[in-house]
Amino acid sequence: MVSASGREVVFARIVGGALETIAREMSATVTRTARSPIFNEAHDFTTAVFDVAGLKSRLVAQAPGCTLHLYAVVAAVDRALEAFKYNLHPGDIIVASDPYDGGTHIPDHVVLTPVFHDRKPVLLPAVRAHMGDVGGPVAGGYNPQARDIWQDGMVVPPVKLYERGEKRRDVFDLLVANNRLAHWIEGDLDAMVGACRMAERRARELLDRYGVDAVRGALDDNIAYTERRVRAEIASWKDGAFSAETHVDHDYMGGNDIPIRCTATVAGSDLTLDFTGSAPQVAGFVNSPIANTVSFVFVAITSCCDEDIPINEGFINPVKVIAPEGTIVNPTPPAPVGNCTCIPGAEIAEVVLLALAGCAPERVGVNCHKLPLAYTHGAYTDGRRWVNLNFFGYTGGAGAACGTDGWGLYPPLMTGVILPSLEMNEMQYPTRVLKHEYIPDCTGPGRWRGAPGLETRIEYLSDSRTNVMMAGVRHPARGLCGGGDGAPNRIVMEIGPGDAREVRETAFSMPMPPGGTIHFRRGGGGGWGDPLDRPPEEVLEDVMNEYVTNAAAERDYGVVLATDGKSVDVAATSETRARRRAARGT
Amino acid sequence: MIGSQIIHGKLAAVAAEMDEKLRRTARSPGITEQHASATAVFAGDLTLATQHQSEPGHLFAMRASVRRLFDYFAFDLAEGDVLAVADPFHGGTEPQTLTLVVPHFHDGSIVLFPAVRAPLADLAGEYPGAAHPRAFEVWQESIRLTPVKLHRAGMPQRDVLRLLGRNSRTPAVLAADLDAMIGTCREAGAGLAALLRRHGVDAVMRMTADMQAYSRRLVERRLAALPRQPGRGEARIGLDGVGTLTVRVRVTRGDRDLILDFDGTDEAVSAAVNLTPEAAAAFAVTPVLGGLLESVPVNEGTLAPLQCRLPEGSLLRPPFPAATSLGARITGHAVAASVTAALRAAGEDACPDLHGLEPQVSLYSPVGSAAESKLIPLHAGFARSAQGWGPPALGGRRRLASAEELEMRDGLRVLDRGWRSGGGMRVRILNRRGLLEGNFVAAGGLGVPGGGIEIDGRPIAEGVGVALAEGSVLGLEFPSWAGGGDG
Repeated sequence: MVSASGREVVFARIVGGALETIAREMSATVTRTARSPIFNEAHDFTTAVFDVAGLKSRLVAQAPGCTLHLYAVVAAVDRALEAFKYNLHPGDIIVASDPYDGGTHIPDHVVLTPVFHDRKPVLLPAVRAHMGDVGGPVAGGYNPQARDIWQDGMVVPPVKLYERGEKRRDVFDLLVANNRLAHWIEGDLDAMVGACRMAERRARELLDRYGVDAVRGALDDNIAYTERRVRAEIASWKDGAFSAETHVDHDYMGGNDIPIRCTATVAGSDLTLDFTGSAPQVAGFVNSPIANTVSFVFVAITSCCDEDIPINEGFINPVKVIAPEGTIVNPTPPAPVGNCTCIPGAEIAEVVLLALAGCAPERVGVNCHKLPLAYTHGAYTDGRRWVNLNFFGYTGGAGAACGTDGWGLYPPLMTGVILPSLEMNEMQYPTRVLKHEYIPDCTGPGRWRGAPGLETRIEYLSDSRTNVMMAGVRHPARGLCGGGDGAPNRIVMEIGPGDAREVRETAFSMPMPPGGTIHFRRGGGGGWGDPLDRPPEEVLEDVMNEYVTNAAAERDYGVVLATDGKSVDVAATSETRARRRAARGT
Repeated sequence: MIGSQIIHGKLAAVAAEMDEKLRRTARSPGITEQHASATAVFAGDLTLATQHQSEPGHLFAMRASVRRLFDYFAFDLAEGDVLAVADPFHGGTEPQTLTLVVPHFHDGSIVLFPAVRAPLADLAGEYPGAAHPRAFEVWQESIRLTPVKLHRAGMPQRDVLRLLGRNSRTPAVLAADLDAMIGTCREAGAGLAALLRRHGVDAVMRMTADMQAYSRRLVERRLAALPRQPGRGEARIGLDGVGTLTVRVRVTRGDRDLILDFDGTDEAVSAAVNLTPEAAAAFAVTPVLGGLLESVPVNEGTLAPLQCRLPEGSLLRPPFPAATSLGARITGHAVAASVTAALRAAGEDACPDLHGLEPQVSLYSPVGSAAESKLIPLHAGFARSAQGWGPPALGGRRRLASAEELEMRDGLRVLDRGWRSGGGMRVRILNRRGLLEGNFVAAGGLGVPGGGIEIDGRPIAEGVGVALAEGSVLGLEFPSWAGGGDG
């Protein structure tokens, strides 16, 4: 016989599972109906369901998607509720992308709709996705020369796309008109709207079936469960204050080695992350609005927790974030923020992990990658524009964690973003991927090593322009708990025969003739733990896989290979490692 | 006819009063000082009943923008709606110039309604203000405000207004200007309602039609006085980084109309000097009408006999998404000069030069330095017109900023301002406001050396985001068009 509390747990999971299914169905709807390859191929979006109590929303379910969107959507939903607190109706669909009103960077638009029951909004399905363009000075929405938010693009504070079920054609057309990729955004917005509408139907069925109170009760249980799990995790960490610092390479406006500091204070099951001491906001577009900062904080924290913990508001409750106003992690308007989801997002997550390494070394890892963004834009032969984010160039870079090497493709902040198929990529853009393979000696060594680096060469077959925003050059992905750092990123633009230009910081609207290539050398992830602790046979396997060269095996790991190169010289390895440990006194 | 004149006089008074109210209640200098606005009353069939304008550029754009709005919102209009559009590709002239309409219903029908057109201080884009000499796409100049309802059935569309405010570097000024435009139209609507009540719809519309016909006859009479022989003209302008651009026109007088055919004009360019068709038409017909624009009631009849043929893809009908923010201020002068030359070539003597390029300067607080920018569209001097006095007619009715205003309000001290011996005006301004930035362009051509811009003695042909440090001296040379150019 199942106890009353047992029945509640089961029911809570049924409701939670139903909402997660809704979120997954939303995700499938977006993928199958959107027009831009950024949506339907790369899946640079996230779907989620919130519940509403008053003007506060709670994240109650999410589909596997691009992690960096997930927590960012939380603030956006609250701000949308605030904007329409006297004017929210069944059938309303709201779109928003305002970095200074719950947003991150402008390309990431949120579309949401309230699900009413008994005259009040109860649930809120939402989609957050990266638009290929946002008007403004530069195609693609990344303007490394931006000095204010309007040079990033057109800001979209919460505005209704649909009112009481009726499309506001003028608002919809206005958004489309302010986008160079009208042929994409029209379909992409419709896909987001369609996903929300589908979710609204499903959510209403759920509410009709079980009733609002029962559903709310179940959601409370689910959130409480997640919170208990997260609090238990935090409580297992060492109490105290643990500080760390990392650096953003540059702000593309002359600012270099910009510090981001974080002090993690663990007190029982409460965690406070205080970014006091981080640099003042900077001139370039690497400022992180508060929603972005909080989002990357949770990207880091979720990577420290068990992956079976349901992602919902319960993750957020035990954590307090302090980000002083006017700093790079909480800028004031009109500072530009266009690159925040790459930089300093990665550094924010990194510094959190570095700080938590002091109290929970075995839980930190899989550091965010520092993404060397190089995107290309041009026009099809019929004049329609395209923007290609060159996703192939960003793979790799995941850090190791205690118990696992870094894995290929994307690290946690990009989880859910998938690598487009080469064939579709080449059909959708005038481009050809010439090379995409691991390269040796680009990964951070450690007891567990980072993901190997990757070399990617992308050729463009028609005239195009590329913006490059380098990251992780002077400050590559950091290793944790004694692990080594990943290798620096490199990008070389090969404009034509004999004309190769390495981009160390940024290239703005660099014209490329047909045949021009972008050559990415993506640094691998940071390692975890002492490289001398890595079993020699695992190092040998890395050598066999060409992730590590013979020389690096000895240099980084103290592993000496036999003369055949296919086995470990056990005696020489023991001696080398002993000598090195003695030299450093461990 | 007397009755018609009385009715038209009342309509014209409504438009003039709108203009006055707008100037007194708006906040941006483009409206209050440069007087770059226009007001109009339209009939329900979307013909122009009367237009009051201080700049020629609005001549066709007012009507075109209003028609675009009504076309867009066809079958979706209600009492209390406020419609707006500010888009070069929706009947506009340049980015950030907003046309706002308040449809006024009389017994359920739209009989007469007011409209205003005015430049807004800022609607985002890459640089504060409207002028962006290096833009090559419309999105770089400002957001595109395609037809949108600011009020729906009397309800302010707060989210749309918020969107506009969030996309302006001068949100408070923008809000005040929008309020002023809406208030102006609402009051005008009340005046029109009183007019219709007093005289009746049929009478008012009949008399409005009479006045449109009257204006048309006056314009046709002016056209009949032009030589029969076609004339060709061309005008060239030179721009740093763009080169020389040529506008060509063939003017042919018909029995009751005039055709201005711009075939042969250079193609559109990847620069901000393209001109929308509506702006091109306005600058084209202004030399033809000349002083008539001051004496003839401007309405549908004024515009009807004038036909402009603007080649697709040319500088005067550029393909989407061409940049246009400097078209009116630079290329518009070339259009007018080419028409003047063509009329003269045809044998028309009574055709004074109305054009007169001037250096274009807009100053602003450094980009990114404040959530609310300070914008200074600097009109500290003017070129001498071809007639030898006052500014060129195409410049409109701008008011010259006084030295006191510039100093008190903008922190700019006028060190000297006067006529050079050669005839042009020279102005030197000391920046005492702290660091400013500016967009500058000094186009040359039309037979007269272009105006000059220099900072601390260093000449600047064009630039965006150029720093003007505290203590720097900005020098402006306004050319003299007395003696004429090459047309």
